[in-house]
Amino acid sequence: MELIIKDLHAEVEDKKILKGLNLHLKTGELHAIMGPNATGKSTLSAIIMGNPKYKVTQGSIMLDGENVLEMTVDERSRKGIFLAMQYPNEIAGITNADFIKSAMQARLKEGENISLFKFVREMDKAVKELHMDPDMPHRYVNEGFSGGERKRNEILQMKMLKPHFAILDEIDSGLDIDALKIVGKNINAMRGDEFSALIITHYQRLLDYIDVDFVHIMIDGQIVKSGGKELIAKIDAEGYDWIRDELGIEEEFETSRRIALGSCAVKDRK
Amino acid sequence: MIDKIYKKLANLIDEDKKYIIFYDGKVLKTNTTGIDCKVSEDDYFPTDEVYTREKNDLEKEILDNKAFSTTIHIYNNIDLKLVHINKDLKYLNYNIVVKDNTRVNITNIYFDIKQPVKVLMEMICEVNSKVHLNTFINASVEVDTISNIYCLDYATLYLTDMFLNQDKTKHIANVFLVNNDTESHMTNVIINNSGHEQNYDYNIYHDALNTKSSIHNFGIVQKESISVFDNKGIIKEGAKGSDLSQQTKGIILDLYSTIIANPILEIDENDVAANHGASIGAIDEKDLYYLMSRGLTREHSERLLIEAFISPYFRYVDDVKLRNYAIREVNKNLDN
Repeated sequence: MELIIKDLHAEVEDKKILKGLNLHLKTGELHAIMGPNATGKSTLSAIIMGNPKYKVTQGSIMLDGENVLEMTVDERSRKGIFLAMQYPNEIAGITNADFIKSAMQARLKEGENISLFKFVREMDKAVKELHMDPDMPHRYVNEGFSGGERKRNEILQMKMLKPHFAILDEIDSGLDIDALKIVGKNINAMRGDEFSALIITHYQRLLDYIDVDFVHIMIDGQIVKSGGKELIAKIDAEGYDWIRDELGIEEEFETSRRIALGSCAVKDRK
Repeated sequence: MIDKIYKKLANLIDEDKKYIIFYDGKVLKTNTTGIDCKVSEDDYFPTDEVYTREKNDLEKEILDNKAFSTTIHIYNNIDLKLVHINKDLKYLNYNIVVKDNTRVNITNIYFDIKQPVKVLMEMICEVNSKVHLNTFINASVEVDTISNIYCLDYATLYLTDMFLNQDKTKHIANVFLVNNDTESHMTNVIINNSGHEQNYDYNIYHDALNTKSSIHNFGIVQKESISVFDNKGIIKEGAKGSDLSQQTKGIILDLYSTIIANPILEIDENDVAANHGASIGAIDEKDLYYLMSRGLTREHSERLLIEAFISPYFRYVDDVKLRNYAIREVNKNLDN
């Protein structure tokens, strides 16, 4: 399967974030996107998933020839796109097990039902593999979870739903080194002909544990450089300035206006 | 007739669990033995002996017009289901006395209410009793209900209500923490798609030292309906160490419905804690997005979020038959 993103432009509240992004993912491959803050990495993940907050103004996202941008969020999910969110929501009153079971059931044809025995066995196995509290399936979705538990819970959902294209948006934030290893191991274990992941991260440390095939550098709403794992070490050592220098990209700064509280006049700096 | 009614209640009654079925206020069928609890017709109920207060107009109207009063005396620990079927009575008055040191779980169901009715229920939770009263009402006609509950020394009360009424409704629950170290915790779920205004007053009176109370209201409205929650919390002079909290949460499912929360706190003592809060709005779009991103349709996601919203009520419902019945009725109500 292929997920092809072409010339993608997108904005939020009239602010342009993505400015002609191109990316080609195939199942069987693991990709990483790295880049400095505020370059549009999370926006890209939200747009692929269909977050209504963002507006696509140009370009396309095609999944095996089907226009993803015309699909609703739930259709995208059922077609095999998964987003492990940076800040997953807390849903008190729905247990993890019920939620995941409902999501799995939503993928079946009418009249088909999940075998409860198989579901419980699979869930228990996934919980163990992620070194999660055995009680986790019975707790409400993300309620009272630590940052690390939330991230593991996203990976748990991914393991259970078995998507074709998983986007992992800064899954490493909030994870300690042991948890990073566990998450990395679980993502590696999913590698196969039917699975691809797009791992969005700032840091090398997650990629120490995930064996990615391609690394893309995103700056100012575009993929500006793609390559192999050698890029990771270079970014870790030198940051992103060398890419800007190499490609002649000027760093954009947001213009801000000084605000003085409690004064009767403000003189702007010339 | 008994068999016919009993058959209709098959989804609610278990023969191996204690129940009393009332038909127009009189006992129609029961499997209680009289040892754990006994039902009597008493015109006099001794609330004045435990608490002095002015009765409101609705109470006076019911007491003036009732044909008779029924009192359920509970002597031992018991799980008891009360089912009220009302066909002709316009005024219904029944009372419950929970004796000292008993642990009681009462499921109180108003079933198939087709005649507008005004109900006064009074309950005394005697010394060191622990009582859970869970009331479920799904009436298709106008109902006015008052519950007055008096907690004596060390009594603990859990009060849970679910209202799915399809017409105008006025419900007043007054809990009086009469003596020291008493507690009351209320969890109320109100789903209003009647197209009418419904009023729910949950009032708590802290009259003694170290009394604790909480009120959690969960309201859902749709189809141009209005739900008004008036929560009065009163801490009287001398009730030092009291702790009171009130919270109302609401989901509005259309543009034309309204939920109004009016917290009223009257604090006449120092050294107490009291707080209130309310959050009312549409279903959170971020929650919907999260559920939909896992493949659930918008409709399915909304329904799950509603189920999640009212789940605090079901935490208190151990009875499987009532739980299943309530879930079915909630779904039917929301689909209407």
